[in-house]
Amino acid sequence: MNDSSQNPDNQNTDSQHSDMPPPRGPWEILWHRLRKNKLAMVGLFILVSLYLMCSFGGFIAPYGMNETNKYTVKYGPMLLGGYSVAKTGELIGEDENFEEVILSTYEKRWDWFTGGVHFHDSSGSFTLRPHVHPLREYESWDEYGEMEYLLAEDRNISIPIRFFIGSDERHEVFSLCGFFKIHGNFQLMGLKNEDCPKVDNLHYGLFMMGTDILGRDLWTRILYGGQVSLSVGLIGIFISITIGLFIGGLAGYFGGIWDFLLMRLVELLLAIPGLYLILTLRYALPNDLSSRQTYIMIVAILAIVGWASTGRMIRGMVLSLRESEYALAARSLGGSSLRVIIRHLLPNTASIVIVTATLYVPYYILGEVALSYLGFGITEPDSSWGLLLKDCQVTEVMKYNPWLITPGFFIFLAVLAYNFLGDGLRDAADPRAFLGVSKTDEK
Amino acid sequence: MLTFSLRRLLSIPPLVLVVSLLTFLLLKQAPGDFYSQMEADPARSTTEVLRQKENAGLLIRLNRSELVALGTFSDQGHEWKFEDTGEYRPQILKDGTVVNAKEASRSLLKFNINSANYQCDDEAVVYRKVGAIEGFFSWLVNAMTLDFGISYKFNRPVFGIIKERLLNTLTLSIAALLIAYGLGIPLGVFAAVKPNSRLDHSAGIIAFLGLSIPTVFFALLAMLFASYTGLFPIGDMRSLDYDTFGFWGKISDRAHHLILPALVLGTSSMAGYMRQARGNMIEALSQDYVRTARAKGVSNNGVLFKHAFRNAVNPLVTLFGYSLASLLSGSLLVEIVMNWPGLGRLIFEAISAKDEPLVLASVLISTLLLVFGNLIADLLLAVVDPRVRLS
Repeated sequence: MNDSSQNPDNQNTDSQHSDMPPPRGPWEILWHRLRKNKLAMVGLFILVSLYLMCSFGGFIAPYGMNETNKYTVKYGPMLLGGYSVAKTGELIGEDENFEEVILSTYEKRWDWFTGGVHFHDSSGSFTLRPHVHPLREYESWDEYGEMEYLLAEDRNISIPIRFFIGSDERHEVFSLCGFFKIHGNFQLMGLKNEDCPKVDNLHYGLFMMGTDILGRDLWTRILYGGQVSLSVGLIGIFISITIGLFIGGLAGYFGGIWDFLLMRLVELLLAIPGLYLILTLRYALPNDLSSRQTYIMIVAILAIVGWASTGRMIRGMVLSLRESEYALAARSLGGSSLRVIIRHLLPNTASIVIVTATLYVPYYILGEVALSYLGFGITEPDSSWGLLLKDCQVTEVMKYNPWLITPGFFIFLAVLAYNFLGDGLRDAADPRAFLGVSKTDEK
Repeated sequence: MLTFSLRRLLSIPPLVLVVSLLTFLLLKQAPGDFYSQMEADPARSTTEVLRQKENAGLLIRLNRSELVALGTFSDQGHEWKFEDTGEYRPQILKDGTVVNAKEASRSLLKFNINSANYQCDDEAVVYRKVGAIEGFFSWLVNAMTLDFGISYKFNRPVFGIIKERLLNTLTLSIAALLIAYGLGIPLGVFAAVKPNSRLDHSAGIIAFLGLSIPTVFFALLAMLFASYTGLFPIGDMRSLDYDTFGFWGKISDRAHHLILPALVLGTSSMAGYMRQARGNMIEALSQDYVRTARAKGVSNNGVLFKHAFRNAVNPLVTLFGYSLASLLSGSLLVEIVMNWPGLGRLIFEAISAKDEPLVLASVLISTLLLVFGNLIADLLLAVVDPRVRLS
């Protein structure tokens, strides 16, 4: 899209400085300025990688979204280390023939970075291929002679992690917001069954970020959850900006009774605190929805609540642009109202709309997180970042499984990246930049 | 000024009216209500449930003349009619033959005539379902006298519950606001005095992180911190043995419980204030009057705190009203995650329990708070800054 033809100043300023580079369109200038902003580029990079990662979630994830590990054991995050057992002592017990036996007691210990994913094979020599240890059940005896099973890594055995392997069944490898899916039977990494020792009481799995409270791989759930959480933000902002452009343009251009009524509607929506309104709207909708319907419902609720502020902003801009010369010219040349609004007025609000949209996406992501966390949004067995955080609702559970809070870091990362990018865009889309004046000329 | 405040004040009642009407209709529209589970429960008699619904104002019992006025109607293939014979209750005619109440109630359960819904209990007492608009107006008349009905879940007047919870939410919000002002403004001002210093950069990072960190996540991190270190209590407003404490013990116990939620809630406003204070201060320091003051020989501190600081911070103070409004919305999640018994948790509990009077009243009260907060902010801004003209 190139709007330079609507901006006569663009050519004028450039022709005055003959030594300046050839004229560029406003979008090119925007991109040029944005590229100089390091934080914004970091944000853009994080966002692109997050979206790509989640879209290819099915390929990257070592397990299926609802695949529970065979023994429903909770694993800690393997990237950060693993559990080992340390012998704490012996105690004298009796066996069934009342003969004294020595029972050893163990203590479970978390080893930072020494367990989990490591780079030595079963013989203990260094390799480049990452390996994981299987979990073994250790019988530990307390002072009353009661036995308990401790699950800890058996450091003598290593299972290699294989990359680009075929999987047994066809599963989704690419998904665009869950609406367009490609299936296949290959995945980025995983453990192969034939590598795993066939020994009793030995559990194994590749759980890089640990498992959730039901024993499902958290990393897999995060990838699939990101498909929902991240796309809700994009689709939600798209819908509400569309509504906002339409209603704001209508109110600003026609004024009068339209303006009055639409702006009262905006005030009404803005008068109710956001989350209260979201919860009330959710209450009015049925509970027994399929996962696709739930997704659409969440997007719809967030868009209904969210369009008001953009609508008001666009109305203000259209109101002032309506009296500009080119709008007058378009109207006097016989352009219909719709054509003037769509062809001339709205494109001029584009830069600010894009900046606002970028800055508002986090609110949609957080809205979905809040709804799902409270139990009114995405529900099991689907996955979303808010739903994953729901496991942390009981503080005791969270205390003993602190890795359950990992999805929160991903939410934080996404919001932070959007803020970086939005701030950068706002600086880059400084209205003066559109006249083709570079920063050095202003001083 | 006066006309502006009057006009704004006058615009509030219609707004609140429309908000409550829309909320009421939304709630009525919702599938199932608090009593639908009770009605499905075979252990409860229909009579009992319908009596409760009548007390809650959802049903109206038909009296003798209204029963007769129903005329002949059909329900599930049978013709029904109530006929006044002067006995203690009207006779029930099923397909023209007289039946007793027990038998009638067995086949006559729910029926509608002219889109009005009727329900019949075990003793053939007929109730009419109150329509949405009708229900709203009776609610409105009561609400004028601050009677918001009886909560289904708590079985207490809604107003009492809300009053108590509102106080808690305001305590939390004001504490958060104090933290936001108390940390945000000094940090922002010091960052502005030495731009590009280490303090400025770290303040900028704190501001970015504070604005970006999701409330749910931050609150969970705070709970994790509290449960690992034991420095702070996990949730709730006061200890279990609160009543045994002395006066100061009570105050310190409350403060101890308040710190963490207030910090979590205040962080994002703090970051906002910090940024704004920095921006305003930098602008103020570049003004002519600062240069004049410096030229006159005013000490550096004098310039900073007497001339620049006041001008930079004044507009921030007026943001009080807006912040209160945004804190109200933000406190919902903090209250739920950190188990603080405030208005936000109340509406969550009410929605989970399908407690309609409570949902309605909390939406209404929170809307009122927000609208008045915005009004106060606008007025304060006009009072402090003579450049802002309200007309």
